[in-house]
Order: sequence, then C-alpha cells, then structure tokens
Amino acid sequence: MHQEITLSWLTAAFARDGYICGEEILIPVYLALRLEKPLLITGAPGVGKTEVAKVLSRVLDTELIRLQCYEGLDENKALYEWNYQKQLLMIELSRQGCARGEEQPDLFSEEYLLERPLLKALRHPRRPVLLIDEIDKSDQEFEAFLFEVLSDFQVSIPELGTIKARQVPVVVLTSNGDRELSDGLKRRCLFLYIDYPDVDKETRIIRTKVPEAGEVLARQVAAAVNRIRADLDLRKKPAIAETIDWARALVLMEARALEPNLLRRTLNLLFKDQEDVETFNRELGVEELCRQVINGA
Amino acid sequence: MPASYQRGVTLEANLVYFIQLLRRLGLRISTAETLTALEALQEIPLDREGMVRAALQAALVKDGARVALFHQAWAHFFHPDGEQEAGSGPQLSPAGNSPPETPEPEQELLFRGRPLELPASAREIYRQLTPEIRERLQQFVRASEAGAPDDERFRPLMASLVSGQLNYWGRQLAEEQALVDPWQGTEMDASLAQIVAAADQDTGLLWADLKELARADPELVIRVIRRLVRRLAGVLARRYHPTRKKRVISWRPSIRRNLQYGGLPLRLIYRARRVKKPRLLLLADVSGSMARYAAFVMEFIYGLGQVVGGVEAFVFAEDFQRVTPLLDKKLGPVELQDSLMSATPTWGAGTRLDLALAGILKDYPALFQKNTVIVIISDTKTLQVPAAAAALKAWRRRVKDILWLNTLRREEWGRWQSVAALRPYCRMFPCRSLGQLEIILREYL
Repeated sequence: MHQEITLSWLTAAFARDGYICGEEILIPVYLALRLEKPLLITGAPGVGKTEVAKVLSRVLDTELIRLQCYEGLDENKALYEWNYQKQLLMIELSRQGCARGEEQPDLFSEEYLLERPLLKALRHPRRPVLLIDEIDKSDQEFEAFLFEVLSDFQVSIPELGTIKARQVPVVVLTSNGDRELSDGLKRRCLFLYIDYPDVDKETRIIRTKVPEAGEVLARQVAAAVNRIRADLDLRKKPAIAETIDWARALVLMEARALEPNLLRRTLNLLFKDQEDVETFNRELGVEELCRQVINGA
Repeated sequence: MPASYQRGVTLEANLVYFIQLLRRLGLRISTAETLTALEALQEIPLDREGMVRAALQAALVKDGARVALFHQAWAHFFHPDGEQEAGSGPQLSPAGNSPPETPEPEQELLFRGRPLELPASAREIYRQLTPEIRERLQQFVRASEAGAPDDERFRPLMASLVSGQLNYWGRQLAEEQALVDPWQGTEMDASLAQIVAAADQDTGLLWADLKELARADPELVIRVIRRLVRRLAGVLARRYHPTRKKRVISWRPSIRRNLQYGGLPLRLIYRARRVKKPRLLLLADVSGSMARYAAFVMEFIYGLGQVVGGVEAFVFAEDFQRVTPLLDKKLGPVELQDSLMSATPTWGAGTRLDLALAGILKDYPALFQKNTVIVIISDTKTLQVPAAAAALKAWRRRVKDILWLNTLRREEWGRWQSVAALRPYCRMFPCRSLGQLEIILREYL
C-alpha cells in the first residue's frame, strides 16, 4: 500500500471500482483508514456492507482476510490453533529419534502453528483488510475477546509470547443488528450506518452494475423499490442486492420499462417472505405500483 | 450550556455542547468517543458541512436507529434559525469567514468624544448586552453629557455611574442565564421537544412522550412498537453462554487444549449451555392516573404478544385482569382495549397495587419461576402503599428480576412516598418514551 490516502484519492478509487456512494459513506471509511480504527458497518442485509471491505481491498491492492462469524465461533477458529496432528506425528517420530540420541523437537514453534484469520491479519507483511463479517452472529464472549484484540492489535500466545501487528490492519466489521453489540466494541470502532439509497443513487447503482438496463428502466426499478420500502411495513425490505437482481432479471426478459405483467412474474426476486408478497398485493399491488412509478418517473 | 452553536467559542467547546445535547437525546457518548470525534475533525476540511457531519456521526452515533435523531440535532444546533445548509461549514471554530461584529464600549460609550475608562468586567458585560440595552446606555451617556458641567473631573464620576449600570445589567444577565440554562430545564426541554418533533415520523414517535401516542396515527404507532419489539425479540433470542452451574466437559477441545501438557487433562473445556429465555410477565397499570398512557400500554402489550411468544400479561387498577387469553385470540390493539375495558370494570378507577400483586400470586403461582422477569408499567401511585411494598417484596423473592417502568419524571420521584417504598424491591427506571423503553429493556432484560 504505497498510495498516500487522501479523501480525493479514496473518492476516485471507490468510483473507479463501481461503488456508488456519497460522503456519508466515504468519510467514515476515510477516517477509519487515517485514524487506524476499526469500522463497524451496520444496516439492513444487502445494502453493501461487506462490499465496502471488498472494495477497500481492491483499491488498496491488498489481501482481504475474512472471518465469517457464527454462533459458537471461538478463539481457536478465529486466532490460532496448534496443528495437533502434526504434533502427534512428531511425538511419535521423536520417540524413535530419541532412541537414536537425536534432539527432541520443539512442538510449540511456529512450525506447528495454524494461523486463523485474526493472527494472519496481525502477521501480514502488508496492511491487509480484515473483514469480520456478521459479528452479531457470534457469542458475546467472542465479542469481548475480539475487542481486546482490536484495541491493542496484539495477541498473547502462551507458548510464543506476545505477537504485535506488523501493520495495523484495516478492520471492517459488519452487523445486521441481530443482537445488540456491546458498548465496549462499539466504542472502539468508527460507525457507519448504511441506509437504503434514494432513487437517484439507486438508479446510478443499477446503471453501474447492470449497464444493459437503460436509463428509463433503471429509474423505474429504483423508484418502484423505493416506494415499496417507504409505503409497506415488510418483514424484509428489498435491499440493493435484490434491486440489482431484479433489474438483471428484467433485462433478461428484454424489458424496456416496467409493466404490471413483468412485475407480477418477477415479484419473487424482490420479496423473500410470503407474508411480504401478500402485504404487497393487499396494500399496493402491481398495477398501482406501475401507475405510480410511471407517473412519477 | 447553549442548545445551539456559539460563535466566538472554540471548536472544542462547541463540540462538547453538541455532545451534551446528543446525550440528552439518549445517545451514549463516552469521553473516548469525544476524543475520537476531535481527532476525526483534524482529518477533514472544516468548511465542508456534510463532511463534518459525517465525521461526527461516525465517531459519536453507534446505533442506526439514532442516525435520524442525530441529523435533527445537527440541524437544530448548527442551524437554529432554520437557515439552509450551505456548502460552507457550520464554522465550529471562531476563525470563521465572517466573525460577528462585537460591540466595543470604547467605540460606543463616548463621553465628550472620548471613551469612558471602564473596568474590563464592565466592558465584557457591555459586549453581551442586547442592542436595545446598549442603546439605552448610550442615550444615558449622551443625556448626561448635555447636563454635566464642562469639567474633566466629571469623567471618572460618569465612568463610575456607567459601570454601576453595567454591573446591574451583568447581574440581570446572570439571572437570565441561570433561568434559561438549558441543562436546568425549560430551554433544553424545549430544544429536545423541537428536535424530536422535527425528526422523521418514526424517530419522532420513538422519542415523543408516551402520553402523546394516543394522538398519533395508530398504524404508525403499531409499526414503531412492532419494530422495537422485534429488536427486543432478537435480544431475548441470545442462545448460548458458558455456565458454571452444570459443567459438562467438551472432550474434543479439552483434548486439543491439553496436548501441550502431554495429554494430562489440566485445563478442561466445558460445554456451553442453552440459555433459557426469560419468561416475561407484564403488569400494566390502567387506573385513572395512568389513563393518558393507556394507548401506549395496549399497543405495547399487543406488540409484545405478537412478536414474543409466551408472554403473560395482566392489567390492574382496583382489581386485576389477565390479558393473555385475549392476546392468544390475535385481536388488534383497539379490539384488545375494548375487550379489556369491558372485562375490567375498574378500568380507569383508583389503584390497589397490593390487591393486584397478592391476587396474581395467589391465583397464578406457576408463573413465578426463577427465570421469570416481571415488567411493571405504572406511575406507582397507589393506595395502601405499605401493603403494596410487602406484596412486591413477596414477588421479588420468587422471580429473577422486576423491572419497573415509571412514567413519572425522575425529578418527581422524591415527592412520592410510593416510589421510595417500592423501589427497594425492583429496578425502577423513568420511562416516558418508546426510545427510553427500548434502552431499558435491551439493557436489563
């Protein structure tokens, strides 16, 4: 990472990579890089939280190290583990070797250490991007352990001593808000809440990700999704990922503009819950949505 | 402390004022976060308002649900007159582009063409005065000039007279500032109310006084409460945690861990146990003094019943009524309230907490388990306070926890004997908005 990080450089780099965002997203990312603080990103599923880390690794031209969190994740799987099969083999071999008078091997040397994502990120020779994805899925104990690592960027391995980060990694944590994160973790991070985009921004996103969709279709798709989000109380609102999938499907169906029939046939790309489909049909309906979007667009 | 941005004050001071405002709005901001905010401001151009706002948001707001409130607080603090956000920044620092003109007594209080020699404290008071009062003082000096003898020895006397007047206005200013000190009361409360009112509908409802919910769109209220309760359901659904109560060895990690000791089981790893979700027992006061909150109570019971299974709910006034069977019928909140009102003849009457507590314990003893958490919504105003306290004590011994959501302001608690009597047997929190309710339940449930 030789490039000095400036705001204008970061803005241009994100734009080059096709990540459409305003300063409300760029500034926290920029500050996280400059202040070397972890960035905690929250927001509904599918709004582009994980993508921020991926884009960062590309624009910084560095490795993305991903730790996917889940219930039961512990430090063995996140930090390091001893390669006990190899150790057992070595014990067996050394028994035979000792009989021949050879020196006993050190079973707790780096040779037997299995790096897991956190340790790998700390020992990486270049400043990597460490993505700790869906931290809200992990247990509270793991979260407590994690914020110790994130505050000092060092870990202690009893057999090896303290290992300090060679380079402070760029840490991106994401959360879908399944559970409340501890104050300790939040305090150590800069915070970025990614909301659903407005119609203009979503149109630009569609145009970038699905260039085959024309300006008219892209705007109508963005307006329709925006209206669905705003008007209906859904269990799972369609996110940007769903919008893009929907736009791709419409392009595949050679649509040039929204029509009730097309909308009806592609509804399942927007809604991931049968109750939501029923809510949509009951409270808005395809004809009404198309009418509103076409009149408003 | 001011409730809006102050020109001529340091960046740090304005930041601290703004953070105080955010804290009053329920955002928890630590000193470490304040320092991070200051560091963040060093990294971005201060003349770009959007950037400054985004930087402070990143450093100070750690909850997506508070972002809208932060934006509203920003607008209130930095644009108190409703001026539109321009490209230029909010001028956090005194070195802004157009510093306000400061009135100088040396230029305005001229006696026979020369400034009066006033002490520094008097000059400072003069700078803080309104233009009208400054004009009055200038007129006083001009009038005195006309009537005074043409003698330079009169100048110190004149300066002394003006200083006296300025000291008087200084005392007035101090009293006014004490009165309008927003942290003490009215002005800040008004500020908070303005911010909440101007926030988007959902955020506004979240921080509005609970008694105002009856006036709001019921659909919207239900939506906000459902969202709140869904978040709470997430908290309740925490599934695992390690425990020492019943230790079951987890063999595989234990063997791995103890390889380093040559296979001797020196450090055992225990299995995590499934956490039992707390059994919720909700007890809501529907007596006359709580009538203003009835709409909220019904919406909350309804929302909780919809999202969290196995909730037991009761309402009470002079008598109590079990709500759970009605929740199971999946009635809407309005139908629920109608059914309850017809089933509870004492709805809106006086309060006999002691009878309700004793009656529920007697009739439904199976509800009182070691994992039961009681949530009581009431203003504590009841007859027979000692008996109510004794009954609550009996409840406390049988359950895991009792959370009391008190609709009285905390400042009023000292005036009520009932609060003092009941508080030792429960954890009591002021609860005057859905936002406060959410924070309490999220942290303590």
